Amino acid sequence: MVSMRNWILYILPLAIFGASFSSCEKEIDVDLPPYTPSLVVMSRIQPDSVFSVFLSNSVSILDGDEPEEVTDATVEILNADGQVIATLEDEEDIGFYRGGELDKPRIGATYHLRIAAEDYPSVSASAICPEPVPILEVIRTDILGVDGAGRPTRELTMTFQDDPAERNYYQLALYEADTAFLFGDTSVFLTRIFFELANGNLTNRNSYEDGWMFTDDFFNGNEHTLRMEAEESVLGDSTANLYVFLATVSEDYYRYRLSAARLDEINPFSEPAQLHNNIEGGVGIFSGISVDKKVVPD
Amino acid sequence: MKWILYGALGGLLLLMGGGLYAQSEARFTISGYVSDAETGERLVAAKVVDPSSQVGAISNAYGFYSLTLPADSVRLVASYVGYQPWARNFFLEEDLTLDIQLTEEALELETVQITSEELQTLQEDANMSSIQVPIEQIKKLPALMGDPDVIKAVQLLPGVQSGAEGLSGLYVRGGGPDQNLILLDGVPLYNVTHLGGLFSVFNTDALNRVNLVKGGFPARYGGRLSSVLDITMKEGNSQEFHGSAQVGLLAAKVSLEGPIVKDKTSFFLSARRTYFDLWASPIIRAATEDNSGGYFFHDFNAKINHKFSDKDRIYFSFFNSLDRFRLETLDQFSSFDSTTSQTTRFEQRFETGFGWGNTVGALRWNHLFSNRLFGNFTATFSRYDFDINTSVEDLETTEGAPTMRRLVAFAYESGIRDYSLRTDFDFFLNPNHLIRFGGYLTHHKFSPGNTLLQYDLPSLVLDTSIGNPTIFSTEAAAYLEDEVRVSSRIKLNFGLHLSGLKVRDKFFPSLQPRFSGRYLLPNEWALKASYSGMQQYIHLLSNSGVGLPLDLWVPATDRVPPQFAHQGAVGVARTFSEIGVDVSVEAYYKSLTNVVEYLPGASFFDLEGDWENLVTSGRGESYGVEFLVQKKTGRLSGWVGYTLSRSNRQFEDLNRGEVFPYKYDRRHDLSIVSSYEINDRIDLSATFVYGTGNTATVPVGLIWAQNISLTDQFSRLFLTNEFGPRNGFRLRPYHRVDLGANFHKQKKRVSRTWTVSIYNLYNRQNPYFVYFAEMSSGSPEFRQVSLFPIIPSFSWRIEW
Repeated sequence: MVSMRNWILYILPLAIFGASFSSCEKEIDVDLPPYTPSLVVMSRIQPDSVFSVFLSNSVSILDGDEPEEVTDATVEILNADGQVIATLEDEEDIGFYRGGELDKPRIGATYHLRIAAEDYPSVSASAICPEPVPILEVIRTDILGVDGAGRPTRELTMTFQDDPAERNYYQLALYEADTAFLFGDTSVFLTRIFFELANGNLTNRNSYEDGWMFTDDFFNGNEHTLRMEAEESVLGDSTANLYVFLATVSEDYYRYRLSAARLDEINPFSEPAQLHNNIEGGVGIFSGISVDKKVVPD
Repeated sequence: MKWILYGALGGLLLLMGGGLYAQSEARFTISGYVSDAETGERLVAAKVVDPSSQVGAISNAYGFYSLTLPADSVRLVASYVGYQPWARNFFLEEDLTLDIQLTEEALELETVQITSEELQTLQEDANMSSIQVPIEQIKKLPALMGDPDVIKAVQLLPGVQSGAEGLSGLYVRGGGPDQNLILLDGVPLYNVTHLGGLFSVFNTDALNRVNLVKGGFPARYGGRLSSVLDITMKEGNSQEFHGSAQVGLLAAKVSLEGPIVKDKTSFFLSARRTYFDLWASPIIRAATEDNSGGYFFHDFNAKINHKFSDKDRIYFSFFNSLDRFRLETLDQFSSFDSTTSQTTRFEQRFETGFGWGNTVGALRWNHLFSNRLFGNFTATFSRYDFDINTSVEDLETTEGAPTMRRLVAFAYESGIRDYSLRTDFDFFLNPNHLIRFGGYLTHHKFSPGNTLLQYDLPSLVLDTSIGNPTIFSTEAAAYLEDEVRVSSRIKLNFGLHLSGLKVRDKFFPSLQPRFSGRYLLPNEWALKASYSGMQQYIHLLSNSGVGLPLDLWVPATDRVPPQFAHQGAVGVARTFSEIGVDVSVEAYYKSLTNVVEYLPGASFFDLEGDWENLVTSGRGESYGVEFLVQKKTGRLSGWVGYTLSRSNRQFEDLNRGEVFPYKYDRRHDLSIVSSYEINDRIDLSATFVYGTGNTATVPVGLIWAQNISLTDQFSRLFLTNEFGPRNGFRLRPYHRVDLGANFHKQKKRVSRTWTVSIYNLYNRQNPYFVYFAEMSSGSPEFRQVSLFPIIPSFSWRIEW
């Protein structure tokens, strides 16, 4: 039973105070510009792979529908002279268009993507397969440490020669390979190894679930060694098949990869992230990378 | 840049030479302090003038003035807004020390007239873009929860935006919240908000003077790009004891002041605390048995000053503020094992809380080297801390004996410490030259986000910290400034501010020219112009942009270089002395470089990387026109301010490199502020504000994006929003009316005041933010969240 005294002393002021700070919500009409659905392109090209494109559409946020794959499009790859060199096919009608085995991208070549589909504006984009940067050396060091959770760690160093002629963008990943039989084929399964990039003088270094992305701002043109720190139970196992992947990527790929990783996270404190886009007339990415791999020695 | 430096120095020497040449006849100096006759408080910017020769001086920040005149009959007049003019006739034949005491003007004496030559007028002042708001005027304004707020009042001035509804952010001429140098007795404060920004830390009872500088910065100011909000605390009544106490819906406060040794030593103390937690705790405990929690804030101001002699005086001021929220829950149960006949008791204790606070201290020594050279030496300390902590502890006891304990604790903390030495000199060379020079040295210690983890589990025991390392930096500056009266029509203030920052073996020097001047037009209007270059060595990493305590203060580094701003302004101004009204119109343009924003999707809570990897530098510009009509005294006082402005930003990494509107870009901003004193017992006040809606970045579409991996095995699609242009969406316009009334009654020993105020009179649902939601019906929609409905409030106050 709340006494009158308590009512006056506690409940009334609290009610006034609470009412004052209670938020009021209401639905509002938003004057968004008319929304035109467009083609959404996801395509990464690299020298040892066939051309491939995943094609879907975008839908208005107010429609309440999910976007769908686009299966009836004409997807063409053109060379630098504007000649069509490959037409990609969606054989399974799932929006995944692939080129032939003979039409793989070449290092240093420029490619144009041109897509036409009914009900959508045509889109286009351009990309170059960059020159790969070879890994000069990988060393499993004796340097041991402890990570943030108190687990023992070991360092791995990777040395490469940066190209002084331009600003370079890199992606670095570490995998453990396991060979197994699946449906009668011998397949190599990779396991991602999460590692810290111990060098403190890298600019624009960003980690996400598939390694690190960084630029050469602080070591442009020099031979550079990166220190990777991972769990001792992984790096200390000399029987493990460890691979270091160093990808040379375009600026568009770099920006797209970072923006996609941030959109994929749920962070209520962050400002909204816009997906980096290099598709004329649409949304998405068409970009090239080149990868050099090195087995971690014993 | 060199020609600016050489030109400025050359001009300074020429003008100084001119001033010296003019001193060929016998001249004597009159100097002293201008103070309030009743309280002994020194009056800043009072005018002391010889009307016949129109030669005068303005009292400095400590009330000191110095005026050199030829040997002759002199009629000296002193005046200050809101005070009765003072005059004395005498024959000047030797240097003279003359302290002047002014008496506050009563309403019935409003008819006392002084001429524009005798009053410090806008047209007299060479500076522009500077506004002073009398504290007494602020106290009369209607206020949220009945507690007047300095920052809220400043937000009503032209050129100043408030950010989101109800919050205490300051956005001056398109600048960010970190670009304001907020000084309390000369010491910078880093977070001036209580209750997440709904109130500022400034207790109006403790304040003496509030001055906002938006542009045309004199050379003595530096370190921020957009504004200086210079707030001084009361010194304490040196004549007699006084006090006040106030009880409102939100908080109670009490102030005491008086002489320790009359005319020599005085003190001022003021404290304020909310009592929301005192109400809430018993109710929470009664309702939930074992749970408790609450929120409170407090602030405390103290100042003491001692006059050693007519030439020496020291001040010590101290300020502390704290906000703290906590919640504790306890879940417990028991089980009885019939096989062992033992009772096992399980407890889970959950504790969470967060808090932030400032502590500043300043020790100041005023010394009069001569009747024309005034020196001020200051040692200051400033500390700001923020922390969040959460812990879960499980305890199992069997028959009273502990059998298992598990603890998982998390804490996050950030902060900044400043230690500073500063010296300032005012040299009254002659009536045509006031030369200011000095410098400061500040040592900063930044702790930009540290996370503490503690595990005490059967499988893991860990007590570690991860996050950003502490950064030390040293900032130094020197300045030289000359206020020159070239002729009766032309007055200039120009100078240089030289500063530098050393951080991580990198040194950032900066030379910042400053200029402002006025030309008196024939009709008593003054044409004014100014330019200032400002360098800022500190950044605020903000996700919210509203000055929430989650924001991180970090230093400029080699990877995140210092910010710089060029600002130019032109305008006209005039004080209509006969009616006590100031009118000014100013147009400004400001360009900003190396302003900082978080990269898309990044926030303070990204633990895996350095903060320098989470931010990007860009540039910005803002321009606009401001109109202000202000009446500071009389029965009817207040102001009307209007700003037409635009503010943009451009970052290579944001909005696909394209220019976008600043988050608080506001095309129109109108404030009408008034108070009317009906008689000694009743005064009324009202404010109306209107502003173009803030910007927001909203989703416009849905797409499948790919999280691409170096191997196809790990590449995967995810559904995500397609966002429209950054800040491309406008919230609805903001407007509201507040009303207030004060009812005074003079009793035998005390005076009592009831204050009634109504915030948001017509219950306008102003947008706080909008978000996109898919409703339970399945139809998606945008929803707007508003913060404050109509809020009536009252407070009771006594003064003695």
